[in-house]
Amino acid sequence: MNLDEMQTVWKAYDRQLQRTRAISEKIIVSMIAERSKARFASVRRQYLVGFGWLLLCLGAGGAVLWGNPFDYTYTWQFAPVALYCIGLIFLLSDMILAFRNLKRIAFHHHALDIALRNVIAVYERPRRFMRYILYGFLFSQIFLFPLSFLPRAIERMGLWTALGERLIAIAVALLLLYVAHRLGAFKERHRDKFKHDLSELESLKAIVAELQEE
Amino acid sequence: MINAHRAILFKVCHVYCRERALQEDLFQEMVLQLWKSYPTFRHESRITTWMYRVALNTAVSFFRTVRKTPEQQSISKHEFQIPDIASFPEEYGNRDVLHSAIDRLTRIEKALVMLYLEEKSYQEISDILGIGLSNVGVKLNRIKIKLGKIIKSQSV
Repeated sequence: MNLDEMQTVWKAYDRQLQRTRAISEKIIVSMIAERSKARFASVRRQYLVGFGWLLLCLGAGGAVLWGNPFDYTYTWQFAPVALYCIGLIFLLSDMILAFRNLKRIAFHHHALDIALRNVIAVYERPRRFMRYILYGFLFSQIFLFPLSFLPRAIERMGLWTALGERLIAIAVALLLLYVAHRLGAFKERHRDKFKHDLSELESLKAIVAELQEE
Repeated sequence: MINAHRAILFKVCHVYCRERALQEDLFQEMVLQLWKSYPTFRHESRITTWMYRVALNTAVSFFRTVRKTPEQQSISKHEFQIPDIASFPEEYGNRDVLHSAIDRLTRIEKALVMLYLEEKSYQEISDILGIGLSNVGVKLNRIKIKLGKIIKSQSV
């Protein structure tokens, strides 16, 4: 077989392909639907992983409260860990509610836009209360947790040196939070992608409607 | 528009992958990219040139990103099937030789050889792939030699 023969085979192949079924807007809708469904399935899997992780963190927090591995001497020193556990319980409850709402959504090709709007609504539900919980959680972990070691540090190195040392720990925690923020840890990427799918679907529908009018 | 030239997409799918599921994912991606980039198409080139450019660029980058994207599902069971070259009549006695020879080329070489088989001019190939005119000639000559060797080794 030489290159000329290859071209003959290719042309015959091309002729055959011209006789295949046409692509309709239904296929494009079906493609968007499949992509959204795949993303939706991945979001649900991520939720399950998130549950596992939060439960593990909660277990660790409980173990600290129960076993006192940091040798806290005053009751108030347990406050940051207690706040951490309470915050985790709230976050876990919020996640369970969101997961239950997501589970109720069914992706059908004929009502894809409704499904996408429902998913976006789950992401954009009013969460002012949860935001306060999250701020409290972060505050306790960034400021209060390092300060809970202050009494022992004062015993070891005196008031001002201990305060300075604890401030370094707080600064490191703040820096880590800033880096996480810059890396997009708090961005709702999935919500943006679902919104993108919805806008694609809406523009496709608009094009189809225009073509039908013409 | 896509419909009129859908064979281009099928051919790119067949040139770039053998696996049916991957072909369908690639096809899906190409149609979406064409549909999304159509508003920016300025009609300065022929529609087929633009389609080849988008389809081949999508195919070349598809395999770089395929592992990072969320798992896609086959669309065939719902709406559509990419025609299977293996199911075509026997007039393509040498189709397997052709495909296994193309399989052994690099991603860029596949794009070049496909456009060559489509009997595109060097100028069109240069426009589609965004490489210099003289570079097209040099690369195509190398690919022809490479393909000749592959085919010869297969026939032995």
